[in-house]
Amino acid sequence: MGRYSDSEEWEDIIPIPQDDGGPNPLAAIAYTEEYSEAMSYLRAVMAKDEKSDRVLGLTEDIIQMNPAHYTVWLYRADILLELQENLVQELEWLNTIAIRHHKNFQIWHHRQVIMSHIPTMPSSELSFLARMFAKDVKNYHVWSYRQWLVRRFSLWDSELPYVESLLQSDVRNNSAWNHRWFVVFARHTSPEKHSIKNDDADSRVEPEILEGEIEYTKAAILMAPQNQSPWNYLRGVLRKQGKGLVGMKGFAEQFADLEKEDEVRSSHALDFLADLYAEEQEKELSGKALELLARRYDPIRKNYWDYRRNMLGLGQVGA
Amino acid sequence: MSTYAHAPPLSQSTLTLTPDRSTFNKERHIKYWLRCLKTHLPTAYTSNDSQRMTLAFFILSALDILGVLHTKTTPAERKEYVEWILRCQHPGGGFRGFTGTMLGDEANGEECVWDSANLAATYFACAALMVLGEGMERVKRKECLEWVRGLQRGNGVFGEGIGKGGQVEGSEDMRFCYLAAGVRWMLRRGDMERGKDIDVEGLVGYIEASVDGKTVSPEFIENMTRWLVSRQTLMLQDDEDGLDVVDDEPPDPEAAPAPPVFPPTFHVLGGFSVSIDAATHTNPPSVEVSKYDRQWIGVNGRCNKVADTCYTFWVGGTLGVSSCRNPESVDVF
Repeated sequence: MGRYSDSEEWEDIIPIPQDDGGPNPLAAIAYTEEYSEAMSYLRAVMAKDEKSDRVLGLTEDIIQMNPAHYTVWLYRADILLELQENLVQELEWLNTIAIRHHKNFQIWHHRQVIMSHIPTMPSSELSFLARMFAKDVKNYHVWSYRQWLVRRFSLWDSELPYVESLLQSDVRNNSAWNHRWFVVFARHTSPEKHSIKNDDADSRVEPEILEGEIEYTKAAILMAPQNQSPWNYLRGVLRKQGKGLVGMKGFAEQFADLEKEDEVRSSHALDFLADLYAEEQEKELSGKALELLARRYDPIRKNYWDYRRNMLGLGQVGA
Repeated sequence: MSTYAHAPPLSQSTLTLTPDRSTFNKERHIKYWLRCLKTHLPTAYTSNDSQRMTLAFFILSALDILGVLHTKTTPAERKEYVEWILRCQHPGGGFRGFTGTMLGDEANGEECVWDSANLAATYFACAALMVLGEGMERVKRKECLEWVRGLQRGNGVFGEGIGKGGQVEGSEDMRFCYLAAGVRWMLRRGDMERGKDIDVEGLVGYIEASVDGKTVSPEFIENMTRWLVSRQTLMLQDDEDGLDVVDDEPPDPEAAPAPPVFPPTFHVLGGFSVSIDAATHTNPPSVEVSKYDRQWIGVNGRCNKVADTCYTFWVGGTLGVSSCRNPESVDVF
């Protein structure tokens, strides 16, 4: 009695029940009867490597019950490609699954497999991703997929305005800052080299672009000085520029004047200045910035700030 | 204090810590894990079906860390656990994540592409056997190491399994690199050390490219330590904070870039309560660390994200590991 055992369509299939061996399997799950039955039929058709419409339906049924079943996704992709199914339709079906299971990553791998067989990007793709970000704007899987999509369809020029719209919504969205870095700098790296090295001075990036990034980041810091994301971004851009931190001295000091300890507006500015002063061989100033962090503005990391002082040859900050 | 004019009063927070919440009840914890070990996991775990080996490791390892694995289970039970793990071993090397793709006699004698080993399952199966303290001698080490070698791609990164036509399946993912290195460490011993190895240099190169630095040098460790330490948070942040509206349509690429304009926001992050509004943003108020801030301690996985228990494990563990190269780094946490 079941969806498959009662169906004429499936009467030629002898289901293969799950065999966990002895009486004490590990991490056994109280499956529903529906799931157990569908899985038994799946095993039977996988054993024969059957590729048919009825198996597509079966994979859909199982995915609804267990969207993290990685094998069933691979099997489904294989059938779709072999039967030359409508892949754009598959994407539309995937949208409903992705919205419902937004932490699942098999869905995104499948989407990438399907999309890599579609020659031009469907116009609805970006608005669907916007819906995903509306649910969780820091969804790692969606961002990884989007990076792939940008390369696949060369979307470089339209991405920057999109990133800026996200940063306007939330200037602390680190995922958007990360994507900005990808959009601005990754187009200079080959697709095979997946990661982007934060190397020293990068001659492939035009000086005007670096200047523009610095100005944008400074504006973001002015809006919210205690936001770590643009401070990190700024360090990255300065490294690409190859001139060190010193050019930002006046900018950073407006958030942390060591003479006015009560008016510090950003612990990240103190951290930045500690490095900047060290770069200038101003050990005492660097040590003072670290001391303010350890004692007052970031005491949870006191051990770390002391360690940094130690590296300068300075002593620990008293408790 | 005027700085907190826009902040919700911390004294009314629903997240107030009470002594009860920070008490570790060992007996109840043991009871929970024994229930996971000896009875069925609830139906809601169905979406973890293909990761049963991972759950198995968590259950065994938790009881091991709590010091009761060998006192609250019988030798006969432990033998059954070993048998279940080895049942998931694939004839071609490596382990499956669960028994759900084992096709019985139907596919006997024929390699079925849909019944394959998985890298995460292989790592957790080996680790679980080590926790149980038996069964490692029955792992097909040569086949397994050869299979892991086949998972490495040209740029050094590992996939999670071999699919149709020998293709490496799975996304490019640092977690797979960790698992591959772990399996290699557990199995490539004794006689096996003379066998063919993975491309270690390629793997190291992939890792180096992902982190700030050219080679695994003192500078590399220093930069990594700096980032890890900055994962520590003072305050919990509502993950949904700051997102009000996202346009459904992508922006017009033809439009001239507008100067950045950021809306007024309020957030509590990194120990500072900062309030800024449009009227005062050119002259933001100074910030202060409140005595409440020090109660909210956690570790996050990415900048400006909410603290999450698992990152305490990953960040603390990484600092512990890196202390081999830089003994001071673990003390900075």
